[in-house]
Amino acid sequence: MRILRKIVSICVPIAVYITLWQLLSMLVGSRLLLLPSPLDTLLSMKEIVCSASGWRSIGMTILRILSGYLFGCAIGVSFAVLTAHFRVFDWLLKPLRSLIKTTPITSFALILLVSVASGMVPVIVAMIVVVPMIWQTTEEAIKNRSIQLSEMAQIYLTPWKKLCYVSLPQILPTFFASASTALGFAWKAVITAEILALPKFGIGRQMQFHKIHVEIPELFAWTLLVILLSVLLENVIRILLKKAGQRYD
Amino acid sequence: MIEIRHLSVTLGDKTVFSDYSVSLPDAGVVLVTGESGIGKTTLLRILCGLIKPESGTIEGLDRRKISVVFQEPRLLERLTALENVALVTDRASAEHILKSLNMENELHIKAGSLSGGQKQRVSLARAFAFSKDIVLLDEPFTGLDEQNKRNAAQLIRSARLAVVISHDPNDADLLSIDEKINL
Repeated sequence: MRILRKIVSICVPIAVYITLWQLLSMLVGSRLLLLPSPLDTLLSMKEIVCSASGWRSIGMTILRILSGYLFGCAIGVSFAVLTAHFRVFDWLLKPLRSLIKTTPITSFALILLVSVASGMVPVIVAMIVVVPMIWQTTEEAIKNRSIQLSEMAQIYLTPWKKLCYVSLPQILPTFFASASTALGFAWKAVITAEILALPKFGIGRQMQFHKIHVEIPELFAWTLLVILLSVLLENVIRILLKKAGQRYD
Repeated sequence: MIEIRHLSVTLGDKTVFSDYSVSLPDAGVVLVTGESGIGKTTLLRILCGLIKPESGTIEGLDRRKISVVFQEPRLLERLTALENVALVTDRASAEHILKSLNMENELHIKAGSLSGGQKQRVSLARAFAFSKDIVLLDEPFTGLDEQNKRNAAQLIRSARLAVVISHDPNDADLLSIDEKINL
């Protein structure tokens, strides 16, 4: 009964939005130019997933997202450890974080385009988006650790046991939450950077191509694919993070 | 002898110790008493190295293993009572010491689900499982009933040197103290 209720709670809103989409497309989009119908979009999507170039674009985009995301997580955690423990790094690196957070990603992408290969621009942009998010939340988690437990660990535990039993269980829940959020932002950043940088293969390039040629159903199909893939990848990462976190429960 | 000489400690704006000197015996049970806020806990924290004094020296602690029973149990709540103690010793010793404190039925219960008195006994067990050379205890009988107090006192007597902070004047008899320091 609970499963049925869950299925209904997911399917009904989707059905409502698809119906609204269909009605709107019938009202304003008698020509495919303005708003394609859900069916036209699905047919375009079928074409994409049945083509080798479609899969190559999807594969390259996912590869760029994962590379930028993983490097971003690693750098974010490293910076968090440095700024949480050493005042000199806090002074040196904090302005950099503010700078990254306030600069639009399109600016980064355009600046990078001058000197970096177009395929690498989305990777670096994803990294730039992920780093400050992971950095800030992890640093706060490190700083908010229980002083009482740290003192206990100083008396009784080896540095390794202190890390595994005292520090990580306090830091990881916050890290996992921000890592999950950061993945969504990495998706958006990579697609935006691909639209600007136009690498040889990539979802962003495909979207830009169809926009220029005013192929709106294809544009909608790629957008829908991005949403579906993003949800899928986020869930996979969330499950992996949850499994990793269970080791410390 | 453990010699504390010319100790000066300031915490925030408050001078806790100023040129303070005291000697502790090498072995036995030492009771530390004094008014609230006078610096009993600070003295314990200095002895175990959690606070570095601005000036002064402490001699006689070299190569001696120190364990501490804090005012709060400071357990890892997601671990069981046994796992908390087994972090500092082998499992068999951990089990033995917990049983000596009437914890045989709570060995596999997570620390977060234990009562205050049970947590205090796990904290005592952890300290004595880690080292019986020097044990520093800050209000070790908090939350314990009479029977458990007696068991804990017996355990405390088994340390080579136990330095106990207590507000309760009856604790001196219960512990059969060897020396009393009034701050």
